[in-house]
Amino acid sequence: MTDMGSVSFESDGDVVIARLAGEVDLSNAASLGDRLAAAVPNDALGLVIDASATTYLDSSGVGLLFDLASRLRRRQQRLALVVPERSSLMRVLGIVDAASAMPIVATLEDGVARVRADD
Amino acid sequence: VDPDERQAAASYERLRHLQTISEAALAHLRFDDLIAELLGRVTGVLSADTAAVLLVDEATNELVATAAKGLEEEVEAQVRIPVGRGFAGRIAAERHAIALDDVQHADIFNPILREKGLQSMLGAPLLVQGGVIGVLHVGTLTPRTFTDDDAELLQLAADRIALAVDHSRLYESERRAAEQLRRLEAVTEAALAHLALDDLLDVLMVRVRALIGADTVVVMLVEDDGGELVTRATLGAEPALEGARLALGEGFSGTVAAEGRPLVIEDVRSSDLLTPRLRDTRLGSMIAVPLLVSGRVTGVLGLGTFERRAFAEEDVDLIQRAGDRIALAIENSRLYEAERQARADAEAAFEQIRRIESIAEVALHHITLDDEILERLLTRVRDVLDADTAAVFVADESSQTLVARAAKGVEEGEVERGVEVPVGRGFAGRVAERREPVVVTDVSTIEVVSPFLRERIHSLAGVPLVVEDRMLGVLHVGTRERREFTADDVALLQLAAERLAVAIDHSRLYAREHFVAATLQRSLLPDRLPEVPRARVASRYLPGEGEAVGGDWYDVMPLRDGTYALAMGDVVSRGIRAASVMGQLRNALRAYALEGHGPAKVLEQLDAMAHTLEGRELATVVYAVFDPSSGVVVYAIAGHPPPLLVRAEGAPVLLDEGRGPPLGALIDSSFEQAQAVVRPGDTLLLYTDGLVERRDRWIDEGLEQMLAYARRSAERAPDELVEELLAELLGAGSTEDDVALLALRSDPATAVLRLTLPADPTVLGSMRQSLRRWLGTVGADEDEAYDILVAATEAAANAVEHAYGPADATFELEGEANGGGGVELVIRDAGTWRPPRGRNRGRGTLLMQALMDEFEVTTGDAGTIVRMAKRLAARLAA
Repeated sequence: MTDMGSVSFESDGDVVIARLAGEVDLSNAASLGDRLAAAVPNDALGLVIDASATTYLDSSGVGLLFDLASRLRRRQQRLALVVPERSSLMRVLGIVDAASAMPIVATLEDGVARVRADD
Repeated sequence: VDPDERQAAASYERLRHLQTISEAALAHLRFDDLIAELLGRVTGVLSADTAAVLLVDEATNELVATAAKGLEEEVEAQVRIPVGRGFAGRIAAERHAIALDDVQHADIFNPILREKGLQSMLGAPLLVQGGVIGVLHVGTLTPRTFTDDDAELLQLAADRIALAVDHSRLYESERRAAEQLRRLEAVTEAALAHLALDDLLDVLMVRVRALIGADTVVVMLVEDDGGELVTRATLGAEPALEGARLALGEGFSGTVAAEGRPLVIEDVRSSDLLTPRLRDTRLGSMIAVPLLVSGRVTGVLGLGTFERRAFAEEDVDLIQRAGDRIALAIENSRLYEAERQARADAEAAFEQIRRIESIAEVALHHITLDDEILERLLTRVRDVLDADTAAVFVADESSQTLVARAAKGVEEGEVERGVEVPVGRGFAGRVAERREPVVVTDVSTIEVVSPFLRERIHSLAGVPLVVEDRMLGVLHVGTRERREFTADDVALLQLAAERLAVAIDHSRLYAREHFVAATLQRSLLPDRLPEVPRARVASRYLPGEGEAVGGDWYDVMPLRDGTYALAMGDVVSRGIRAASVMGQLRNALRAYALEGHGPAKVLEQLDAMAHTLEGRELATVVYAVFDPSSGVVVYAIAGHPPPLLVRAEGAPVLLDEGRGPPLGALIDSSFEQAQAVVRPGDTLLLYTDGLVERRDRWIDEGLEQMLAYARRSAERAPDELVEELLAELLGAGSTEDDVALLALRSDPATAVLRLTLPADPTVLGSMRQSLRRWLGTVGADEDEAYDILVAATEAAANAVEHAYGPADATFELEGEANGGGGVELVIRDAGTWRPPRGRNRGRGTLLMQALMDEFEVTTGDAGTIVRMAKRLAARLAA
């Protein structure tokens, strides 16, 4: 069964949390990216993308994350990415050095904390 | 006043009166209320003071006052007036209306009329189909001259009352007859349903006992040699109530048998007909009737009550009628058993003929099983009657034509020629029309249809084949020489005819039932199985050779999420009922499955649904959901034999988890589901118990045999597998139970994967699905598979995104497990790669290089080719 990507939102005060589930590839990366960007209001501190349930992600998805990070940075908002340790996704993110563009953490709490951090 | 106007007013008044009496609303009243209402209206319309209805008591030919208005004393006194005497008596005798202008000076039988002070009276007969059933009369306390119009109105009311009386009587007798019929039907219906004598008696006795509310029932049968009565079955009584054996004429039952008529003992203590043993029982009263078949006593049916009671004429009659039916049922049952034996003999003979046929290649196609039986019977008839020919003609559906069905002796050619005789014509036609035996000593004196008979036969005797008033055909015997067939000959022939008629009737009923059930069931099995991706499916259904059609079914159906529903079930009952239950369960299962519930939930819903079916229906079902993309099968079992998983590598296993009770067995059953993986090359087999269970073999033995076959036959295609399993487990012999098999084989691993896909981003997901599955078959672990999927998708995305703009373009993906312990992928398109656009593109190449061990892009005139390879830990280790 193919489970193409979907995204759902919730908020934790001034932080938007997006749960990205299923597969992300060329066919849906652009639209998912637009929805993610649109979900962050100007007064939010930033966005945490929880990719715990993301089953596939390739360079299209990586591109989406880099784009999003730079868009939010221009708006002086932060992006954090939650990815379980030792996951296949982590290998891909490692190869493209995603950590250079956004903090990658193992839990949602850490992600929210990173967006709120005063540094 | 204008005379015309007066005339019109009178007509109107008359019409209104008529309407008052014949109003439709009256029809809804109960009998008593209707009569009272009519009497009220009659007195009103005729301005009378009294009205009365008297009905004829046929036993005494007297009129009895039944209802009255203003003359209630007459009813209370139950005045009886002989027909022909007095006022009412004369009306009844003369059958027309009579008016009495002066009651005080007339010939009046009933003193009450005069005492009441009636001056004038008018009466009319109550007529039903020309017969008088009573009288209606009205009276006045003042002198009056009744007119013709009055008489006509009264007659109209009388007609209305007569109709009501008649209806009510008819209804009453109908109701009583229907009740008796219903109870008698219960006796007969049992006779048809159970043909084995002992079962039959068990049921019949219970029903007979209920007929008159007796306490004990005994059936004694006359022994074949006619010497003694032997107790065959008892209910509520000591087995040897009257002694297990009785000479004819001895004791109570013996006397009934000897005299061939019903006997009643109202007080057992003081009867002189008793055996000492019977006197010792606690019985108060007894009744016994002879069991008669064609006037011959075949046994005695006796009923007893512990309380002393008198048996009404009606009770005796009812028991005798029940006895008649039981006698017939017992006789039929005996015949049926003889028939079954004959059938078995004939089958054996037929088997022999079949063998000879196959060896000698002689075409004997016209011999069928039923003809065999018929011919055997005819041979017996001919021999016993010392005739030269014996033949059976069978009536067609319309009972208009007789067809020569079987013959033994000089007429055999008639059957081959398919001779037909219209009912009413020729010899057989006359027997059929008259429905009684016909004897012709000289054939030349009658019309015969077949010239053959006239030439070769001199004398004939024929009897109709009749079952329950249905004429099924004719049996006749003939002699070449002149012969006067005796009454004994005819009686013998009739005995054979009774036998034959029952046999033909049974075989027709059976054939019809079997045909309907088989058709119904076949219509419920899938014609064609749906294609299941990356798997092949095969099924077989083998009807049982037993008495009735079974209730096995199976189903394969795609579900919305890309998985497939596989179901197999077995309804416990048999015949038309089983087939219809099976249809309902199958459709319900389809509905629940399509709702997307898991197997355990589907079985729970199905179980709840099975409880709503009429009667207690048990069924076993296994329901499985197979996911072609992963090979995972989730299943749940309701009392069904466990599915078999035949492994391409490793021993076959029975999937015996997820077990629950059969459907319809318990209230609120719960089911659990279990899971297994059908790997490439594995076969999942669902089957019904008919495959592994037989009367002469334990189910364990059957399962063991199935496993043994599976161990050595894992590589079989599913259609071969089902065929071979059937041959292996059932052999050449027939099965009593029906068998259904459903096999699904996951396609074996292939070293090469080749996909041609449209250059469209939306295909990437399904491309990964195919590739993931293939990677599983060639031994990639989860991480390796992920890496390869990403690399392949990157290459494919380039082909889709960069290669060209226009639609209709395709690209190819090839995967191959190479000898070097890894896989090689080639992605080929017809376009030319362009440099990556945008800041965040171009990481694809980086990923491909990093995730794969080898990576190479070649761009030429024909397009772009990406070659990648990766070593797999499992393959390197192998």
